[in-house]
Amino acid sequence: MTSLLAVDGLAVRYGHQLALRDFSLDLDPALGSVAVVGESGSGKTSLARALLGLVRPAEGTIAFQGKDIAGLRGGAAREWRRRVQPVFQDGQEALDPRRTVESALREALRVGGLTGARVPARIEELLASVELDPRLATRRPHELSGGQRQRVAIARALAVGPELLVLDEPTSALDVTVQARIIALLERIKETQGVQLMLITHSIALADRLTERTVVLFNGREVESGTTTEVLRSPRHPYTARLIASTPTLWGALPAPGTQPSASAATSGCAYQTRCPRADDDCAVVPLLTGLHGAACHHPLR
Amino acid sequence: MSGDPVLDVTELSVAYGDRTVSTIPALTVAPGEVVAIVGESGSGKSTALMAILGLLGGTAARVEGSVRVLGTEVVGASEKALRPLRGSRMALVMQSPQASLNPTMRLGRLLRRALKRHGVPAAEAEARIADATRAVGLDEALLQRFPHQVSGGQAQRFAIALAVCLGAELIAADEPTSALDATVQLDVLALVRRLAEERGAAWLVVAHDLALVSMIADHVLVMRDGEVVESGPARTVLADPRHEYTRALLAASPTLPTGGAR
Repeated sequence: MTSLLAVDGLAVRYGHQLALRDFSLDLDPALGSVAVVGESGSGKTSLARALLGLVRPAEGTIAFQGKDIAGLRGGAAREWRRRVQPVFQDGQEALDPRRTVESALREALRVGGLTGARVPARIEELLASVELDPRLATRRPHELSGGQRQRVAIARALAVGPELLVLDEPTSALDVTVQARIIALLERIKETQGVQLMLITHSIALADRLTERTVVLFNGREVESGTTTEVLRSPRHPYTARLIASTPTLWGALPAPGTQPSASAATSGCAYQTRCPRADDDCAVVPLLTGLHGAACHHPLR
Repeated sequence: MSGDPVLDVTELSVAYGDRTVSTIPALTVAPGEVVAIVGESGSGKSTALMAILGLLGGTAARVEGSVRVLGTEVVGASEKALRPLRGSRMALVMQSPQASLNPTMRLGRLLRRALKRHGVPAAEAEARIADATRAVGLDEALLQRFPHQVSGGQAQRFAIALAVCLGAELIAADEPTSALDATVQLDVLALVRRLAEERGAAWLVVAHDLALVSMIADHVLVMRDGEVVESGPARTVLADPRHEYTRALLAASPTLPTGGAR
């Protein structure tokens, strides 16, 4: 089977800095939605940018239906752009400030090959699918709330009939009650439109709600992957466990003082060893990640 | 520690023209207490914080009511009258401290300069710096670095160390952890709590996530559209919310895996 999008040995470099290294992942609607979870400096945004063709890989390939996206031209490139659609953190920056909602959707439909008499009905359908009041169709981005703008950005992405939405922190710029509604909307879109999500996020809770598979990145490397249930309920890598334990909970306990870990990642061997309670001499060698629920760790938790 | 409140707010209102954007009928913060103002954008929570710190002077905002910080009235006070309070008695910790620190100075020099400006003799300054960096768990070697050379969590610890070393009794913080990575966030929250308990710091914290607030706050005010819709001890407000909006905020808490209104 050829995946919709296959990432193989991807590395992204900015100057001398390797932001992401040796990353491989198959993305296909048949495999379900995927979350890539990580903190700042993990490489998660570099991965999203590479998948969308916004940054050139330093090593490795990203293949769309078996063909390297770096070499896609003409119709093949359009097909890739149609089937893999981005949704960014902030709809304000992603939308053309001069276009009304209707005009933005009309343009997206035109790119997707739809013009003429069926356009108004399709626009109405798209607005309904993101639960946006049709009366807002004449507004421009600055006349909408953050949540409404994110709905427009999602409608525009859906307009071209994608199979995969690449979402980079789609809710983190929104108010909490608005976040909850956008998450519910993404859940419904997944179920009703057969669109899969590639979710780039720092939020364990978001990965849990929206995806079937989860990949955890630390310092530019994949440290754990598996089904979302396995990774988040039974983490194997000490970093994943710490990430989960760091999520605030109602009446949760605060960490004891004097446990501030070293801020910088190790420069050789396992990058997490400087902060890891389980680290020992073995960790001087970079651990490999293997297996269906794998952890790149010499001393996994289970 | 005296039981007198460090901060005492009554009938505070902030208006732009004839539009009132933030009102707080009553709010007190005692030494060693952490009070949280919770709300979404447009709730007026940050505006209230600015008014309490006397930072809306010279703007189009009209501030009415009373804000007493350690007995001094802030509303209507001149910049000159507020100067003795600033830094040394009340301090502000922002969401992204790196953006507010002078990028051309090493962290140690920033501390020494601030202490000098507040009239602290050099010998005492060094002792205070050593004490404050220990209190916030900041490696003293980091004081040799420039603001951009430390992580977000370290910069936030530094901002808190600055308040501690000036001896601030009221520390106001606007979303102090929302720009931080998850694994660092809890350490900074623990620091807030510890400074309240061990040093009697009075904290007024603006935040949006109720789960996070439940971990540090003694008292909670929930704001919406410029008004306080519910306030009380954190235990009561979060365990048994009276107002529908508080319940909606709890259900939507972005950090709770089971959260989110379906």
